[in-house]
Amino acid sequence: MTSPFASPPPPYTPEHPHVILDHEKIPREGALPPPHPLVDPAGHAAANTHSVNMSCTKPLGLRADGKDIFHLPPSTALTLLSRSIELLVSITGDVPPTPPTTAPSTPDMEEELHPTASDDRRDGAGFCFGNAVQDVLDGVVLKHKRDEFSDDDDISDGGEEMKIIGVGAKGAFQNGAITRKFWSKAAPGISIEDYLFRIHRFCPLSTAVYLAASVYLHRLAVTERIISITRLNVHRLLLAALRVASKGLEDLSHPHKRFAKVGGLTELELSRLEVSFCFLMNFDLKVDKAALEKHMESLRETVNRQASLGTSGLVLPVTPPKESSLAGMGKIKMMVVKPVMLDV
Amino acid sequence: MDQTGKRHPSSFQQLEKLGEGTYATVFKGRNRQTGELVALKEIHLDSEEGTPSTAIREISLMKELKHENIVSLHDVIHTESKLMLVFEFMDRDLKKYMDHRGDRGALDYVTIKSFMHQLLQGIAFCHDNRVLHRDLKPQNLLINNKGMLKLADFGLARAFGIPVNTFSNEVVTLWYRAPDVLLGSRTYNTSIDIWSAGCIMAEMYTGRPLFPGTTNEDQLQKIFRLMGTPSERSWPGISQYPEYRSGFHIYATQDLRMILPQIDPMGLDLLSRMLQLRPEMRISAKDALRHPWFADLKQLRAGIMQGQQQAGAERARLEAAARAQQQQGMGIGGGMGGQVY
Repeated sequence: MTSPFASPPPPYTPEHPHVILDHEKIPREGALPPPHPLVDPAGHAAANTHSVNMSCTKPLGLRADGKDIFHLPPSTALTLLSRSIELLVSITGDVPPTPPTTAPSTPDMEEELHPTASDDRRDGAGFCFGNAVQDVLDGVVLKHKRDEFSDDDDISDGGEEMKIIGVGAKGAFQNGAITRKFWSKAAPGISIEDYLFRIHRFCPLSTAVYLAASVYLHRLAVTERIISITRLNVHRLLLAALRVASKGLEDLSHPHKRFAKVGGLTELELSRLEVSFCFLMNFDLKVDKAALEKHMESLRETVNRQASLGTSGLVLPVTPPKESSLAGMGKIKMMVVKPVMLDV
Repeated sequence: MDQTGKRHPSSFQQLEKLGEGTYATVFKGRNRQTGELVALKEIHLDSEEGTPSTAIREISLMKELKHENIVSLHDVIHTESKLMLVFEFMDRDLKKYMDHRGDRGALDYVTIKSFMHQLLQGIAFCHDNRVLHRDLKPQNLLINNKGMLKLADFGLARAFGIPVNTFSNEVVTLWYRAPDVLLGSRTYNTSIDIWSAGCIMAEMYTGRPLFPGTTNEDQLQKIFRLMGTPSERSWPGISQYPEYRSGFHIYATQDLRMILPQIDPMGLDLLSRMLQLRPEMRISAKDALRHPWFADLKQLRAGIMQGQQQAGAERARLEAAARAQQQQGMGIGGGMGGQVY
């Protein structure tokens, strides 16, 4: 879809001014949310009155109460995402990258925590972009599939939900191989919130994308328990979730190079994480209004409950952000801002 | 997804190339274990842009859209530098079918009705699941030997009804693009798929595209020449569209029968409800399926089946007679037998 949309004509704005994906433009905090282009007039009107009622009767900790996700500003959606993921990380604590119970062998912990590029070779069939053993059959370039990952992994499979479409990709151990890709050697020195707002500042995304990314991560970590979200993988997981959500839901996405740079990865790393995330999610990436609204409600409850209990459970950055990184970003010239390094 | 040994590219024997798109190449393939024919869509993974968003959408949407009138996605295989999507095999697309089976491209009444019903069922299912196809055209409708029609190529499709930032109007192949999209709308909805379906219906009658425009303006002009140039009076709010020009050439509305003399009044009624200039006036897929034009579809299909059986029996009898008596068989053709499901 890149070429037809490479140079988009200006958005149609008579009644519903759109947020323009102007990379130099920083969305104003608290600005009106972008009205949805596919507004169902009846449904929208109904939701409107509903949201007014909600905000009158049920004051919550965050702005833009009510159930209408079309009136939820992207920055509020981002805050919900940030708080709920911080909470998940604080609950998870520190766990090894691969759940030991599901791995058929005892992985070498040193190696586990310090994955290198050559790691791809042992990640099982189909999850690397380079340096793999190849084979040519019927003109198809194939990659050898290692025997230990063969099709009999159905037994260790966690059931329907755990199935991953694609070669040797399903089963807990294979998931373990994929999930390792998201681990950094050390916790990046930028808090979750700062990281997310950095992305939001330089690559603004929509309410739907922020909520969808949250849906994805909660499904992986809470519902299906495919991956534990920790300080070591949270940044990469967030970046991949946001990237995949924006590609799946938006007609235009930020340039790969820019998104990678803002996220602190190389383009190749982002490419790998992106496709790995798709398989981790088993490509179940479709979201609709009802699912997003339901998720928003549950996020709100969680976050507000947490707020009423104090911030004790919330995760603070392991090390304070260096050179007060966010201050530097205020100058907009993003490309001269020192990039975040996830692999410190 | 399928569990029967289809996890690996080597599970498939790659046969001839079926087509090439902007982001993928499609091959015919055969499952080595089961012998089943499949279509293998290979998508190159680009390190510059990562996984194409078309692939992410197509896979995630088609995984959810399980319907007899939507091509089924069996599996997704990830190799070194590409994704391979394994689809059920269909014999040909509607364009080739029309060229091959039709009378100078034009199809017979019963086939058109059957195909339209199946097309609308596929569309209705997408819309029910809050998905817009956004690229309906004969090349993206696949036909098998049982006369079944299925929607394919969901690379431009997207979920709708969620608060996103970007909505492109560079959608749908020009000839099948709805006037509101041509006028620059980014608030279009399910009705854009219905416009395409109307264009396809007319094309099945004539064998030629209804509005073969060359540019955005030419496309609009071709539409206005037939449907009449809309005004604020006939289409309140039209002047607010970005591509609206007050200087549009004024055409009077033509009777659709002029270009489709062979269509019956009921079919014409349905077609004119799909080809409404104003998006909100276009019939929905669900309502179109309830249109009286489809009332005799079951009967017509049964008649075809019966005709086939009779023709088959007759052929067998004649062949036997021919063998016995060394006579030449009378040329009993199957007619359109075998084409209509």
